[in-house]
Amino acid sequence: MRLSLAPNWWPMDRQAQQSWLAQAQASPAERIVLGETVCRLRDRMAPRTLLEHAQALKAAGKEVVLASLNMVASEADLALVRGVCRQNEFPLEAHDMAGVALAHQHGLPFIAGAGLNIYNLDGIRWLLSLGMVGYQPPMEMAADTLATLMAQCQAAQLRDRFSLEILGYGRPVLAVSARCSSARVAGRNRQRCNKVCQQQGALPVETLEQQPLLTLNGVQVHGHRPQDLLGELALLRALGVEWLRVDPGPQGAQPWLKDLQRALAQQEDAFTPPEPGIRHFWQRPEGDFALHGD
Amino acid sequence: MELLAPVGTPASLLPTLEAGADAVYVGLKDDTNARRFAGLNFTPAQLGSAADLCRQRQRKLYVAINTYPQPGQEQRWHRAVDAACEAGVSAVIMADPGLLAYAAKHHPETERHLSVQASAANLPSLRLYHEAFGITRAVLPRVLDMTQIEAIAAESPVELEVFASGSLCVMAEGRCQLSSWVSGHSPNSGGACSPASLVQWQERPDGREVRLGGALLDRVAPGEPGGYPTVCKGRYRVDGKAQHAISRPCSLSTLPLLPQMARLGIHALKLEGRQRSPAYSQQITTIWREAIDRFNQQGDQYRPDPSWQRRLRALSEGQALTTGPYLSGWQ
Repeated sequence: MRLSLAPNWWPMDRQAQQSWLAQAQASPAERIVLGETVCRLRDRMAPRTLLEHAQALKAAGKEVVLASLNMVASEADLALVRGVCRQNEFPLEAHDMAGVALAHQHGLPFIAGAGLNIYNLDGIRWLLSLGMVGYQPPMEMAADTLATLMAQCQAAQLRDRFSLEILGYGRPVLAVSARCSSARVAGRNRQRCNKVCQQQGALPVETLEQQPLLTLNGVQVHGHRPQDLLGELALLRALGVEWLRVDPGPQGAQPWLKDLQRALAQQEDAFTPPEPGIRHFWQRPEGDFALHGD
Repeated sequence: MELLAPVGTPASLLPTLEAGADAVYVGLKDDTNARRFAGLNFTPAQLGSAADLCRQRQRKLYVAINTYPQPGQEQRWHRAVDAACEAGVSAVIMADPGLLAYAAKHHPETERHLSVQASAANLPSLRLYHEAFGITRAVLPRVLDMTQIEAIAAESPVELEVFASGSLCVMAEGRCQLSSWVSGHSPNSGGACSPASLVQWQERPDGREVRLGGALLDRVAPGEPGGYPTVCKGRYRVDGKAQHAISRPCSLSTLPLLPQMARLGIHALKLEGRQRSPAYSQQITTIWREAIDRFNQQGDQYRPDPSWQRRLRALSEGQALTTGPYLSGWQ
């Protein structure tokens, strides 16, 4: 099991992005995911600059994946994804079927992001036929369901055709909208956002009783706390997870990643990060209500 | 333009057809569709009768089998597709690639529509689903503005269906785990957003508290309109201020956009609300029938009748209507 580092592209100005890149390069992560996934209006690297950074990281010994937008709606969004597909050095991480379609067209291998909603063997089989080399299960998939799915892939002799990546630590993407909530709470809309997300950062959302609930990140909504599967390294290993993904948040790679890397190298069963998170989706909720046959 | 109306139960079918629906969509009584609520939906036998009735009246019947089959349980979804196709429905609405492939292989004669749960919001995606599974129609997610729809419609390989009225999903459909995060149940695999069994309403001196899975989603002052509690329409504290940070409770109405929808070549206008009462389906269908008929008669002279919006508002959430993402200022 190897460590992959993804920023989930929290709102960052250019300076913060540079510092994030430097930290990523110095981090123990073997795979780095680069590229804007949330909003084309944010300060982001031009495709050529992105490629240069990817090449620099590659030269430094990292495996690099280029990510595309989580939701592709406009011509401008499409142009951005096309830009990332117009190279043949790095695989694409597709979060929208547009990414799959364009990667397939260009003969570019792709990693199926969690947002693609691939829940079962037939879905995996289809994406393999289009060039999938990596798979991330949907965020809400529980451990036992994933175990069933991977056993099915094994039985169908497909399991060795893709790597399995799972969000081990990081605030999960829960939803994506056309509407920018970061702009909305600042009294703006997406058209006239003035990149307010980069000034105010990701915003915590609490209930009226001050219970933390969500985090606003532009058009995306995340959980209020990280999903944290680091206490289950043994189980992840048994599930055949090849890439343990960590999203340390906008502050960049953290010193504790070195300790995590050590825990992975020593095949430890569990790891506790300084700010432990929750396992919201990992275990199926009790008492599923039975509506069948009513 | 086809008027496609929601039908939650067999009792709702005839009134909705008589109210003027060109086509209706329903779900089966299990977790194979994204409106799995107690007392709702059709058994396979009821589906057969519904298909007969629709055939007699020369209307279309679509079945939503639009949740994602769980590993190891695919057969249940396959049986649902078999049941729908054997009942002789006009089309099955699906989002899962595996299920689309199954339907294309085993029931090629039944049309396949791409469900909104697949959130296909661009041409490359539509082409991909069209080429792979022979879909004939796609339901566009409520994330596109009219300009974006125009660009898609100009080159779409399939018929386009858009949501015209009813509850407004603020998030890209199928890519929303907000209900799952807060309540443990999701539309994708559990078949319902904000399942009623996990919703609590409590009257308090300062208003009504609305909870989902224990989390307070809103506190509605006496006399203030509220909606069915979904996480995206809750009132929260952000940046020190109580506000509807994502969306206030409201419903969609595109009555003012009807001529534009027609001009873009939208094939079907979908009314949301399978989970609502038979009376709701009938009323909303009646209003939209009047609107489409008037547009067909008057063309460019069409103006929405103020009474339509008034009647829709009475049926809406939070007694508020919006054209939602279709006009980009909302975004």
